[in-house]
Amino acid sequence: MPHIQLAEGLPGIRSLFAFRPETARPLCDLADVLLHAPGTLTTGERELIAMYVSSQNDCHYCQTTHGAIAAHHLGGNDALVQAVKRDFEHAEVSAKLKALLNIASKVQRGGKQVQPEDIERARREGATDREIHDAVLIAAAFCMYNRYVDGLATWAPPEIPGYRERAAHVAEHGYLGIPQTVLAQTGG
Amino acid sequence: MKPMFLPEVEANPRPSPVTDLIRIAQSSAAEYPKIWHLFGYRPEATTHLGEFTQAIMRGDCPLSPGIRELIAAFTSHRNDCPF
Amino acid sequence: MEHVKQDAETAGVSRKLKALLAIADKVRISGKSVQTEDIERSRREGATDLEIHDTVLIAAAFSMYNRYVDGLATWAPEDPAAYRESGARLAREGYLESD
Repeated sequence: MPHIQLAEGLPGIRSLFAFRPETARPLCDLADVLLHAPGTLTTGERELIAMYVSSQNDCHYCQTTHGAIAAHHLGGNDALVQAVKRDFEHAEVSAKLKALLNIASKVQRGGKQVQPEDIERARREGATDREIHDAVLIAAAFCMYNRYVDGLATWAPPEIPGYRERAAHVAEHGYLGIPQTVLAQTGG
Repeated sequence: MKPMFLPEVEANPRPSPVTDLIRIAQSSAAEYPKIWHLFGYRPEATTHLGEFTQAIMRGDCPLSPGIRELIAAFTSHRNDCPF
Repeated sequence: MEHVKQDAETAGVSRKLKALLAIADKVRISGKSVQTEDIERSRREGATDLEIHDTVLIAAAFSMYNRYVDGLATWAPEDPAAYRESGARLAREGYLESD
């Protein structure tokens, strides 16, 4: 039961985008730049970072949706997404991504948890400054999104209706169209 | 002033309004908040951070901007982030 | 301001604001830390849905900013004087970069 009056039928952050369109637009723009726009880290890698941080923050809506988007980018590999969630150090991902997930896990606990050794490890595995910066910002941003979604107790049933279809759409088209889609669904 | 973790962020090759502020501070050897480098490093991302922050901190809301800044400062203090 | 940072519960601020700061403090820990009782307390003190929403989003946003800044070891001057000018400018002009 959400803490405030939200439109029914819209899960997770979508209900909040309907409630407050003014902040929805830049929040979606930010997600698009961080997760979908071209970059040296693949979209699959970036969505895995978002999924992992969301799982550490125990946010069901965010880890489910970004896990599904990551799986779509990774050719439907749900098993890999689950393996990263359970134990990324032993999952079948690159050493560079493991080092970035390590940094993300530290950011999730608190910015000051990131130590020079964590940065050095990422550099040894070939991460550029830009990639390290982006991993930190994605992890920080998801600490915001997760708190927003759960802090207002938005609706997110164990099996979120339509999440796979939406994940496929977002994986293909990105995040920019979400505010308009949400407004159309609420008749706004 | 201590160096940031990422030299490339601190070197900041991207032109932006905040870059001018950095150059002015550097040329007069003044101390300055290094968050300016974060805002200058990826303007395509931090533009949206700025728009979002403007919307939530200054947009229409029954809570005054002063109250909202208080909430922000209180949260940051409790997160042990003096900036 | 310093008083509020030290102890929101006893500082000279309105009861509604104290209730909202208590929500912000919970959000800072985690979204799920916010309990129905925290929300109900703020409603008893007159907080609206919009005020509760914005409080949660501000606390969430600064949980992001604090991590972004500290995660990259971004040095900040300790002297409050260094912030007075940028604080005044932010108060006048807001957060958008001027073109």
